[in-house]
Amino acid sequence: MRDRVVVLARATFVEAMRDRMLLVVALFALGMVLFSRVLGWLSIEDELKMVQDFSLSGISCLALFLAMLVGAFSVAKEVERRTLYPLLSRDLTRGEFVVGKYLGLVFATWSCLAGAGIALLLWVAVWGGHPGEALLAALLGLLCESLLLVAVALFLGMLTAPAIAALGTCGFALAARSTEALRELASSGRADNAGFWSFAYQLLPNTEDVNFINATTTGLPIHWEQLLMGAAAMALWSTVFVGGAVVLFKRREF
Amino acid sequence: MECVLEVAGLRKSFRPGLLKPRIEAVRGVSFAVAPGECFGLLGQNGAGKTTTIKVATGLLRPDAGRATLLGRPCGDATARRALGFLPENPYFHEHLTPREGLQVYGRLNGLDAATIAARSPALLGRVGLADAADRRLKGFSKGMRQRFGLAASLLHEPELLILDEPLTGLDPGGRMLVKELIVEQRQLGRTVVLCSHVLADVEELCDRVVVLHRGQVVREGTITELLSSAPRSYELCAQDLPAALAARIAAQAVRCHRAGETLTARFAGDRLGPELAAEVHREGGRLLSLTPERESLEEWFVRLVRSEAPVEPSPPAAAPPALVEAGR
Amino acid sequence: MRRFLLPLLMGACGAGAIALRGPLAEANAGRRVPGTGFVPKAPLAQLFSAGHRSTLADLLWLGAIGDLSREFPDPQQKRAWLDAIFTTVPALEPSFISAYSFGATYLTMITDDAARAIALLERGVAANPDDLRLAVELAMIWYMQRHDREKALAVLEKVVRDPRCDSITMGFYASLLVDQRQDFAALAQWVTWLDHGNELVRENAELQLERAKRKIAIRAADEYRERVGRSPLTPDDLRLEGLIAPEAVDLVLETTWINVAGKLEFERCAELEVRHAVRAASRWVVQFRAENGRTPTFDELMNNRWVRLPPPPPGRRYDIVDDDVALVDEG
Repeated sequence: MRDRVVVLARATFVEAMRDRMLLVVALFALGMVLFSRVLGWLSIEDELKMVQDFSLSGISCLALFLAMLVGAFSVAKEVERRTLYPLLSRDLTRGEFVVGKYLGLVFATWSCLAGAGIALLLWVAVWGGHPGEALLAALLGLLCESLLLVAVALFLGMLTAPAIAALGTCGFALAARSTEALRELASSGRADNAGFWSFAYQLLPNTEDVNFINATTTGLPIHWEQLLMGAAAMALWSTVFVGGAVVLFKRREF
Repeated sequence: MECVLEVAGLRKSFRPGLLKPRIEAVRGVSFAVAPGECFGLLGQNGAGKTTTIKVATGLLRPDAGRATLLGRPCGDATARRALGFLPENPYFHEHLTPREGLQVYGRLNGLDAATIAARSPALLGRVGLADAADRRLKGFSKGMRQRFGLAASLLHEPELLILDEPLTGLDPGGRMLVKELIVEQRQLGRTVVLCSHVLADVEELCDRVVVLHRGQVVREGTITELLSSAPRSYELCAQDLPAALAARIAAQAVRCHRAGETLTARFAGDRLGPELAAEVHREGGRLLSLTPERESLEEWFVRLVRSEAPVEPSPPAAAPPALVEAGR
Repeated sequence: MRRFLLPLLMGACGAGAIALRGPLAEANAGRRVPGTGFVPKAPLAQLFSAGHRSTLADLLWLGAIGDLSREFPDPQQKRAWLDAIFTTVPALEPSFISAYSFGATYLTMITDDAARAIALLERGVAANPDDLRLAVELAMIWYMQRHDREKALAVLEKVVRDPRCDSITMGFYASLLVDQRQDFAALAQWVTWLDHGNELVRENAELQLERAKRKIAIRAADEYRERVGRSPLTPDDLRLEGLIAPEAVDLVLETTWINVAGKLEFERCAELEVRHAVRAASRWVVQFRAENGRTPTFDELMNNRWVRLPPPPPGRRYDIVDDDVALVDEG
């Protein structure tokens, strides 16, 4: 089973990486990294801060775009083009198909993000900065977040039309970043049913757990165990959504 | 003898829209495919052929009935290890090359990379894609994709090959190649299920066929069983005919044509032709040929589906008199 | 001809659109007045930043920098806009030091609103307790705008204990201590640096110590004049009770003299000031040479706006010797 999953993951990775659309999106993110220097010039004395903040936000957007592009449209494209038939008519279960696709898409996304991240580290070094552990933590956090985003996009892609799945992924990403607001709502005393909001906070994924973008400018030390725990949480949530995608895919007929 | 593919009481319906009533695509289809035979699945558009094939290949789940592949349910992934499937109008991952694609599909069927690498060149050469082995599938024509699909379905030497419209869209060379491959597979003892609209090819290649109409089996049997053996017309070709005989032949023929000394005439029915051939012999003329024409599978099929009631095949006629064929 | 129709049409439309830009800009000039730009409230910005709080803070700040110098049609509108900027940006990123620092400078120097500047800096200091710059700026505003030495001292007390604190800030702190008549404390903070391993640090500490002594002595002399009705004649006159803290009086008077004209003299302090200025001037000469490829002339040295050399001691003058500024004998 592992071999089949790996074969499909590799094929999905190659297919995704050779897709020109991915290259365009990655170049766009690279452009944002380079353009961040212009914003640095506009600021008074925070050039490197602008470079880091804007570049990391650009790479974060790249992660979301990639998840929408590859995750939401992936299965629908396979169904529409019927490239699914030669696969599913073989000794390949539906669960293996979903897991293999997911892993391939994740590795394709990570490749693009890693490329953009390396470009950022070099760019910061070129402009006299010292790419420190905060920047590395921020980039690793984005990789962890993309695990979840691709899983959600794949899940929604199984559930509904690709365009709606892409929008849903975008909405999920925004909501997952804003989950902290639920906790504040529960603890602020301004909202009724504080218990409900607290419960909702516990139940929903919180990508702020792996968001270290804002930590790059505080100068505070990075607690790596926080990132590890956040990564574990993202992996667990991803498993839930991939499992959901498997359940949906098993029920689908072609 | 265990059947390679067995379908019993298969039912499958679809709902075309949220509030629309279900449409039954397959209504109680049953048939069995014996090992080593070439089995044809015939039917008009919408008869339920593709739905039946999709159930057999695990792409659909039946509402009722069962379908087994080498004794195992078709939904079982391991059962499909012995299956080679070429869908209608196939598409593959466009950014892979044929060589890479064969690696993917072969590995999914349990072959190791070395075996695939050893088999791929010969297989790609056999389907005429040796020169394009390292080109991306994206730029392939329909015929080339079809050939690659065939290669992919044969790579793991499956016991059962299901081909859905494998000849559609191919040039004459491609069609010849596919037919040769099907014959080769049969000679190797493998079973082939062929679904095609080109009934001439089905008639040429298949041992048995099943005909679906509106989701049901309306006929099943060998070609010989389904078609009447009695000729429905004769074509007579003769020379050096006496004028009176020539006139009599022309008067009774449905169609008559004279080219120099040669007279060619067509007669309806299964008796007139042999009788007039015997007269040519008696009156000293030269009989060049007497050719019987039987109803083709296509003609039989069209007649079948046009009628509301099922059509019984005509009873076989008495054997025609000895014929002399000259000039062939 | 037909195949040129589409490119011609596109060219004509493009030219027309470009030609319209001038009239459009004039017509919309009223709509582009700053102050109509939307700065979201802090909670809204935090919610919709989607985790990109620092980037959103950057973008809002970059937009604000350009608009700070613009005229608003209504001063109240500008005030509200400034409030929004200086509330939302720090709320999004509490560690955005520049926003507090530059914002406070702007509020103090341009809008003359020390109260808002103090409030902004206090928020910044509370959010960034490890940042010395904001604390020093807050102390400066308390002292220079509000003349509240007590509050300034309270802010600087934590700063001077930090090993990163620079000598200028410590000097400022000492000066405030002297103003508050905490003479011994003002002198004591330099004494610990007099044993430092680095000669420059030792000299600088001694200079600051002498400056503090000078300030105390001048204050004491002024108060003596007020009380007694005449200038002090000898240093011992300054031992009058209440002029200098008892524990500091000996230390102050050991380097204080009064000349025949009754003027206070601080020879050691002057000597150290000259030495300090010469070192700063030498550094300036090196930088000048690096930027201009030549040694500066004497006039350029004496008239530059970065380093001011005090009057040389009698019988001596300044000169540039081997890219160093030195005191040489006259003649």
